[in-house]
Amino acid sequence: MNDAIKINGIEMHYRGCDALRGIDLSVAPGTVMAILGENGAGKTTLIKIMTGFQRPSKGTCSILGLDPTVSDQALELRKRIGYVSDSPALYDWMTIGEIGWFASSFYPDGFKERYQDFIARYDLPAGRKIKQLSKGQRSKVALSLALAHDPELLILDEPTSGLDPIVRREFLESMISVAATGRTVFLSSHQISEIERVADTIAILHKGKVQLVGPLADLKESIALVTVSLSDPLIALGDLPEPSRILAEITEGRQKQLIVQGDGDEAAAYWRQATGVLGTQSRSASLEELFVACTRGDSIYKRVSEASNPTKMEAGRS
Amino acid sequence: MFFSIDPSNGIAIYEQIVRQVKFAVADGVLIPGQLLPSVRTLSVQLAINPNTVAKAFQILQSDGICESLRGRGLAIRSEAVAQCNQARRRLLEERLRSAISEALHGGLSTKEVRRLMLDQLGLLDGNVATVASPVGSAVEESEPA
Amino acid sequence: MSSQATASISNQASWTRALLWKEVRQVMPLMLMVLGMGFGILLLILITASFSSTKGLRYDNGFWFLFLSMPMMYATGVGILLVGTEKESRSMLWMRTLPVGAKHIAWNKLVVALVSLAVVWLIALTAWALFATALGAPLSVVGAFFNSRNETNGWLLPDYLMVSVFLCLAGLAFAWRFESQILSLVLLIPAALAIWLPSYGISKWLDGRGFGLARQSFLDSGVYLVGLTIGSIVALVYGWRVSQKALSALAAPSQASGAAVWSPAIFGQATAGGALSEARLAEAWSLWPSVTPLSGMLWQMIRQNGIWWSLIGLLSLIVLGIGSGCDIKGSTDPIDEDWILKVLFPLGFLSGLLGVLAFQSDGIQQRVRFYADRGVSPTLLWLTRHWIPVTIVLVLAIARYLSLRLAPWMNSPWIFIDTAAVLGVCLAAYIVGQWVSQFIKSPILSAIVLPAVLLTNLAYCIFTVVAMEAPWWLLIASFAITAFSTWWMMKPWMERRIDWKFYLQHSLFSLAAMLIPLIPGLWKIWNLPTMPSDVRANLQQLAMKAPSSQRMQKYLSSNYLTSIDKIDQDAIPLVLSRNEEIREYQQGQVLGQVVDPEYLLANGDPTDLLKIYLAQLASLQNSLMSSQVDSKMDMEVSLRKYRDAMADLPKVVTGLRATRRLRLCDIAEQIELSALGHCKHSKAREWMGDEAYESVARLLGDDQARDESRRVALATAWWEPKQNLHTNRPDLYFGLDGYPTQYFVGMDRRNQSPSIPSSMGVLRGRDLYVADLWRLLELPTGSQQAAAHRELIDSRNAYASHTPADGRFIVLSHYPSLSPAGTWRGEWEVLAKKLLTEVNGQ
Repeated sequence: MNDAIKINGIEMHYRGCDALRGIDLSVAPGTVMAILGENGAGKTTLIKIMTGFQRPSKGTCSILGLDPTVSDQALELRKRIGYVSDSPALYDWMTIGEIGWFASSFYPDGFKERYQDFIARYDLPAGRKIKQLSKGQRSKVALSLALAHDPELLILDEPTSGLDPIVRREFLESMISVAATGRTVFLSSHQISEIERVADTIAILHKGKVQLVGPLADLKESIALVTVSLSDPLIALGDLPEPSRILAEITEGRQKQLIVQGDGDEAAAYWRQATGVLGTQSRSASLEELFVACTRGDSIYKRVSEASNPTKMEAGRS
Repeated sequence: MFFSIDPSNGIAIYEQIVRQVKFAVADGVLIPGQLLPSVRTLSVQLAINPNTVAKAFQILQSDGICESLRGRGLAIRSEAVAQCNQARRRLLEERLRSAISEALHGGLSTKEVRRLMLDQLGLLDGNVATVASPVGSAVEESEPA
Repeated sequence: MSSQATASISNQASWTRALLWKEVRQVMPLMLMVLGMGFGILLLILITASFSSTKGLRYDNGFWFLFLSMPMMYATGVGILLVGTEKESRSMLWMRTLPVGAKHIAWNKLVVALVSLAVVWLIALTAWALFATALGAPLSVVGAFFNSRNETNGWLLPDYLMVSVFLCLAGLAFAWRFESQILSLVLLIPAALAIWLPSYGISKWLDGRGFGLARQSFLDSGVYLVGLTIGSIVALVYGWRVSQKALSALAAPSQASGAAVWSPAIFGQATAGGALSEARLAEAWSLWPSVTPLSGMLWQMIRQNGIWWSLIGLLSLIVLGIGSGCDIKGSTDPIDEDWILKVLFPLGFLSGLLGVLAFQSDGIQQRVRFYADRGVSPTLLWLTRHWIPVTIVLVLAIARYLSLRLAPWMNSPWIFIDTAAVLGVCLAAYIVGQWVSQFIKSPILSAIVLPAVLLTNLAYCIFTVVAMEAPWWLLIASFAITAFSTWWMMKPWMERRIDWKFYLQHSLFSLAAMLIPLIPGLWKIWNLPTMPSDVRANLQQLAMKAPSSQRMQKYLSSNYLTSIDKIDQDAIPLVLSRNEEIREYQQGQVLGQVVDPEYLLANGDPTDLLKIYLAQLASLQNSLMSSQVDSKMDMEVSLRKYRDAMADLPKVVTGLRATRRLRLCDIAEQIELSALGHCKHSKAREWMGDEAYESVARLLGDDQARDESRRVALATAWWEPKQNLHTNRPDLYFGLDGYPTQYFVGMDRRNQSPSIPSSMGVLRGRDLYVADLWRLLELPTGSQQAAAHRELIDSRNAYASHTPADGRFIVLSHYPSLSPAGTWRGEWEVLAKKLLTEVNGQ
């Protein structure tokens, strides 16, 4: 099965800043891939490279079998995907209907009807000029335009930033409809709650590198938050036996909170034996906690394989 | 039925769906022969990934809770009720166990714990609506933190 | 107005500083662009003028246009820029959230606008003054306006100052009032007319005289000044009120904002009554048929630009109507001035505007990214942007053709030439405009800068064709490259990747377009022969060792003698008798004067004076010859005079040589020639006396000293003009000590074009001639090679004339000697040497 998106070793160096320092990703078709990262982590840069708007300093990528660094293929690619950038450009003197009609000339038949459906579904007034719309309505128009030609890949760059919860919900539902029909969705966001609902695979981007990537369910299962209460704050906890390992650690007073890759209960039990430990508790880490752990302090690059076998791990210092 | 999904409470989403279906069957909200909504419909309704829904349905099928009717979707099996009751019972056991262990961990003696339980039983007996009554409430899932 | 209450004094001061800095940063691009354009054009003019051989660099009254245009352009744009860009980037809303009062904000903008305008004026005026004084014009030209008939119309600087102030204030007011920057810019025209027309009318009524529009001397009467002042005050007050309203009122909801002015679609305000039309439109669009991408894109362009195109088309038709009376081959040669002003310039400007519209309207607010996001081909986009405007230009050309067809006096070939010229210029202007619109992001800057860019292009085209001898068809290639460049840069422009790489690539294209027409001229220059470097080194060394004396003097025509060939036949006897009188008068003094070189140089053309000298010697010899027959008394006097004169002759010659002037050296040799003639007479020794005879013989035989002085004179003549670049006498620059170049380089002056390659050709020809002369001096006197080389030099010179060696070696030609060094390595040198050996032998 060919990957819908394959990214190999992409690097992007600007003067004075390294936006991307080696990204490897692959997205299977029919899945929803979400990349998570703080502002400035490089998500938009990566998407620009994927859509051919930016040439990477190094590395290759293949989207739907096309190479976006080649000019012709980039144009072909943009025709086949639905791309919603973070501030989509529209001709604001056109009305909603007009822009749909106008865009339909670039795509094969069926665009107008599908666009009309979307307009109706989102309850948008077809005769109103775009410059008179609110922000949420504009985003909906942009999304409708992107979806109306039924693309095999949908690339969304922070589509719901600044939108109210109702609009966000509507966006999510659209994304899911697309995914449910077997299309691929690639989305960048920092709305963690949305990602938790909608993503099959996630990748966490931090400081230009992928800190963590893997299927969401597996990640959540294999990563636990262990809280250890100590009698003395200076006590150091020993390393866990293979194959579990510690991803991050915070100390607060006489308690330590550790993010552990592996069985949380086992780890909790292991540490309960140690001297000076008063008690341990373990639960699954939420995505938010995972995100914070990956993006704070010194980060460790990990890959969780699809077999969710904790023994298959690669680690390296960033 | 209505599902209530909380993606960040620590339980995998598909697991939440499975449990809620089982409890609904046990409560009688879902009766044998009733069709579950399609993967697509449910995923859009709940705004969660269809693969997750698909996985949940798969588990329900393999657990024998529902079966696939050709051309119509998934339907609840009549044998499912007993299974679900059992499942619920097991879950309650677990919860009780962890509550008791917490109490014991906190230093209460066995006698005190038994005392607590009997008090509570006394308070609640007769005041909680059972599944038999039409006003059925889906059991809430909350994680003992 | 309570927003100011909470701000403390110290906060306010720091806010003020920060705000001022921000305003200044906003006007900087416009200021730099305007000044850059102005000085760029000036530089171009300087380069052209310094190379041109027909016109030396002197102050031309036309320069006022250049220096005045800078503050004017700036004044037009500054108000709109300060307020308009703010509104466009919506930072006005942000500014209102600051704890600074509305008054403060408006006041800041006003101050920055006026002060920066003053700065631009100061720079322009200073540059003007410096430029004028450097070229020797009086300071009073600064601020004076000369029309084409060279009548000065008074000192109009205050008027122009007030015009710029008015434009600035009106621009500010309009920008506060209206959303659209272009609208504010366009409204300045009626605003300016609203002041000008009444002032004109009033002054006409007041004076009751007929004022021609071209002379505009009513401006002198101050009525215009008064009108401008009133207008400025009105603009100031109105602008202030509008600014306060704009800053304090909340932004109207995006529905019908109540803007009464009908604005075109691209910058349109919401029209009133939106709901009804909305409902109608809601159903309509779904029924529209599917179209190809091409049609869709054209529809988009038409909807967006249609109104502007109609406007431009209308204006063009009006221009064509006005211009239908004049044609390319009109009353003035070679091209009718009227035609240029009424037809070519306006149509060219309008075509430029069409070009600016091509990309600007899609570039604002990143609209064009709509296409980029959908993978539309850049080529298709480029074609659709140009399709309709180019068609409009073609239609204009056809309209021009038709309007000429209807004119009864036009004959066939000229109609085609006229139409072709109009088409060519309009297409060229269009290409320039579309380049500007892709290169410059802001629409206001493009609109303001367009006229200057068009003029610069025009100037450059003229420069390449006239000064660099570029064939006109290379210009087509040049413009083709400019047109092509926007196609090439379409992809990055579409995707809004406008960074330094974009500008670099665009600039490289422009550079190529600029350089290509220069290639033929540069190639010609490259292939010009150069002087051999050893000769050059020798000459330079010699010239620098003997520092040049005084500056080149103007050779005034002499009062002494009149050349006979300049007057008609009847007056000749009169002239002859007058010349005789002068000679009689002069003869007493002339010998004394002639010995003193300073006197010679200070006293006009020494050639005439020395002709008298030679004539005097000749007449003295004559009197000796004739007095042999006559009385003894005369003979002694004559003998004494003759002897004294000949004794002084060596002094005269060495004195002339010592001046190091080539012309005077040549004259010295004429004298030597004449002296040789005298010495050849059978009775010479007897009449001159031994002493004088021998000293003359020694002088004549000393070819070393002669050659040495020739070399020095040659080197000085060759070197000196290089240091006097800013003279008004090009023949001095190109010639050799007053010998005009065309007479020894052999070029026919009439065919000489004022272009740089040909000027350089002339210079090189001069160098080669000098090198040839130097070589000549290296060959020994009387040798075969010397004679052959002399032949060679003379063969190249169309005007070479050998000194006629008559029996007495007297040269009294009334033609000025045209070529230098006419007597070098002549036969007479051999004879002179022989004379010396005879004398030494005795």
